[in-house]
Amino acid sequence: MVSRSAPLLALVLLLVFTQAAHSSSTGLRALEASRGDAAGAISAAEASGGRAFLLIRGADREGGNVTSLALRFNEALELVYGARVLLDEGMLDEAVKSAENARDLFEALGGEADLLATQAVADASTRRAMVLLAAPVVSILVTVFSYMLIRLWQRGRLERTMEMEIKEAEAS
Amino acid sequence: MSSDDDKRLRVRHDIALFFSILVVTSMVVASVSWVYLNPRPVEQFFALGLLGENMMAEHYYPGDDPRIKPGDLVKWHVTLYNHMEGVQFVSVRAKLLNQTTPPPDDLNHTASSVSSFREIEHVLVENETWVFPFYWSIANVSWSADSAGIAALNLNNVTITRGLNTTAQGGYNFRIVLELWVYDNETTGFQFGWRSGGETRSAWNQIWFNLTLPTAST
Repeated sequence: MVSRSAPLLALVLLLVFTQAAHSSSTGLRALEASRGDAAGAISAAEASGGRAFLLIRGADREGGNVTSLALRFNEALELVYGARVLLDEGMLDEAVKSAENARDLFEALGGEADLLATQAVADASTRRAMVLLAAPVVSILVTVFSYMLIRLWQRGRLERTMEMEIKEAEAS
Repeated sequence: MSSDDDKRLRVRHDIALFFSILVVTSMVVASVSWVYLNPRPVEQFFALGLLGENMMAEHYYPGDDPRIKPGDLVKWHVTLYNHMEGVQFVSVRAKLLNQTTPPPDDLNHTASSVSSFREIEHVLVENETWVFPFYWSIANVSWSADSAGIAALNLNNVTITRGLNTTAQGGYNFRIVLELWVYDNETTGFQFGWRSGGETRSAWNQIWFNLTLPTAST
């Protein structure tokens, strides 16, 4: 009885082991893919951060106020670091999510920095034009004012001269 | 005084005087405008500092004892001041070295070849001072013959196991080195040091400590 059922049992066991081995290897592949996804998402976030920073620096060089952009950039950097920690801890889905949030934030910041740079260029151009236009006006106003002051002073001096009386020197 | 006197007192216009004043005023206004539109370049630098528990250059170790036991919480504060005339993206890289591991080179401005166990990245605007806590403790040690190593380090509540390959004879003369890396536009990556006035400059800091094991209570 035992000898007749042994090949059947062996066949069943073989099938079970094969299935288990197959599912195990599929699971490992899925895990590796997730780890690769997480690492890829972090790399993409870092690259996006680099591009966003260059745009922020461009806006800063044009004279734009980038303080709030820098603040939010640092928040995105925290998300990237969080993603790295999650990756190390094996929390791959959370790592991918954190990295993607960071990338979205970096991209939004890049867009805002671009707009700020355009605005800052226009502001700087206006400021420069104002200074260049105001300079000759200020020169002429200061000149006219100074000239009038000098004339007043000259007139006052003349008046004092005219009011002088000639007196005979008293004999000592 | 009669109106005839007023007529006599009228001062004649002096065209030469007017133009002289105009020339002098124009020169002064042009100079001021030029200075306003082209501000004088200032010296560019970063200042990297490492402070103790009370944000002062003291009390770097628990009980002021540089012999650190596993579990001892060491509280440092890293300060970084940006005077680079613009926003900067920096990375402070923490490395574990021993007495013989080459530290960063001040002359050639090259970083230590040891890999970092933590990279702290931040963006600083012009004239900003950034202070961040660097609270660490040794989570796990490894002994091999007479050499001690730090297998795990807890930094700001995160356990780190990478970049801690350095060992020290008897646990003596470990040091944590902090290097300042700056994001470079051209290479689009971080570089150790920065360029200022045609020169390369760099900043790094280190603090020594010894690793000891708690004495066994009998």
